[in-house]
Amino acid sequence: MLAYLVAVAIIFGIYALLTLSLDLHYGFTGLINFGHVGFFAIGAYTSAIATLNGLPYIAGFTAAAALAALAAWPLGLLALRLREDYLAIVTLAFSEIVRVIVTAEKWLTRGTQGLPDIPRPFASLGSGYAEIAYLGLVAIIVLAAVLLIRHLIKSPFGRLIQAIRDDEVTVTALGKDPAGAKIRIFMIGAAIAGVAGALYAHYITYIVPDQFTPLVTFYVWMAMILGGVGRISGALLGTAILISIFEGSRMLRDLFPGILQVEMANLRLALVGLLLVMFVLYRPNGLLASRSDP
Amino acid sequence: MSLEINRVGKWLGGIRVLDDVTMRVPDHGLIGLIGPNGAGKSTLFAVISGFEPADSGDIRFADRVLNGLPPQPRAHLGLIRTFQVPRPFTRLSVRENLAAAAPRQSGETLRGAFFGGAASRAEQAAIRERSEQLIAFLNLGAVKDSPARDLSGGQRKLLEFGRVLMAEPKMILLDEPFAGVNPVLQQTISDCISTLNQRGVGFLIVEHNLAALSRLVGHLYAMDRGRILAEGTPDQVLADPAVREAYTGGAL
Repeated sequence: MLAYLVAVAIIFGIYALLTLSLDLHYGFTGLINFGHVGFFAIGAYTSAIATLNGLPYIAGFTAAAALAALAAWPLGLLALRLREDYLAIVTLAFSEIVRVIVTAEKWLTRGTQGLPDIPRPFASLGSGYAEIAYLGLVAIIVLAAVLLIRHLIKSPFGRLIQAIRDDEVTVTALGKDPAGAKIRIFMIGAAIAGVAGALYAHYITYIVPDQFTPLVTFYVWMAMILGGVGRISGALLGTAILISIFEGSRMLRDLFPGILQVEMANLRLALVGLLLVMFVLYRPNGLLASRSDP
Repeated sequence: MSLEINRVGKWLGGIRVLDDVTMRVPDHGLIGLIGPNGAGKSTLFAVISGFEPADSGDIRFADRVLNGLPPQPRAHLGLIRTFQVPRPFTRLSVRENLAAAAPRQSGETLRGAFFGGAASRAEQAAIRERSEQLIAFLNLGAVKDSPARDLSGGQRKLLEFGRVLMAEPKMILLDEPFAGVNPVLQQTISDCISTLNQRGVGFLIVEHNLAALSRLVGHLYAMDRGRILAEGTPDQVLADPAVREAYTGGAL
């Protein structure tokens, strides 16, 4: 049971990083990013390939963050000066391009066969302890991300990005540069998603392109909406709800042995969809909406 | 710090929305601009503030030619516009709305946000103090911690005005400050404008409320269909036959 809880907590932490960084993009800056999984994939593959080639973990994680941020940069330059819905299309396409590239470039990623035997930190501690130590690492990184985002949004820079979210034209009229701030936020969020990808790769120890479909982006959006957009606590709570639904529906299958796994997966999706509809109807600003929200 | 608009023309979708517009707002001036709907007033504001390029003519402010400059450097020169419909940062509080408008904040860069230290904190303290002064000046004390979306229409006008003041303007392009504002609040806004003008801020004000505007400004321009029809004292302009015809569509 403990092993199971640790496993769930690790996945929670990884998804929490994705939701937090998406919230930084959308909830605080208004960037409609439909390709978050692209940064996640870049982080996963970068750190996996780096460590499989003998580099230390710290180099893998750093490269994961740096490459994800670097990928965000041209995207930002291209799209952020245009209308906001262009960014949605461009990021969605970007994440699919990332998936196609890691599928096609077999010399680097082994394509659809995937990358097996990705090293996992703390493995020498032995089964059980290794996972707990890994959870500790995940927890520290999540905490660091929370503190980083909190500091950012409480700073004058954070006030600027929230002003951009609310009315970019006015920010321009006041003599400030929305595009520059947006590109920076886009890169920071991408870097956090890249670190989440690295954590994922080293935990699962086996990655294939199919783990990085737009469905992941969709789940992260859902978590953010369920918890409440533009709130750090909302991102964490929404992630917890999402993981509970996944794990809960898995247990549900044990109660109903007649249901096949494939059917259960579809049922789970339907359940998530239903929940989303109900939230949009009854709690459009998420579970943690503040009183003043309409 | 005078604003000179010299023979500015602008085409939009085959229509000449600005036709050789020439206008001058002197240093510390308080000038009104009137005209029926579609006269080109808002387009003129957009062209002056850099949101739309001019097709011909030139615009100078503080002896600099502004043509080709994007909105930001124009704002940095102290030439700042408001919008016809107030555009508050809806989810920020009144106080944050004002603070966000303060120019040249070192804490608004990433480096400043993380390593700004005492200098940035002092800067922010000064901004907070100025915001508080403006909140008192504009009578927004009761709502200063409310998100801007909770404000009434009139309060939004005041906030929009306050935000422009926060940006340390030398000249303000004010788009319909009295629209949708009750008479008491109109007086408050008028008083604010007069006070600021006496302190040296120039104004170019577009307004449909001719009575309120005439009481406020000493010099008026009237526009219709992209052209300047008349200029002079409010009495002269409002008595001008061309202006009367523009407003009544020739019915009188």
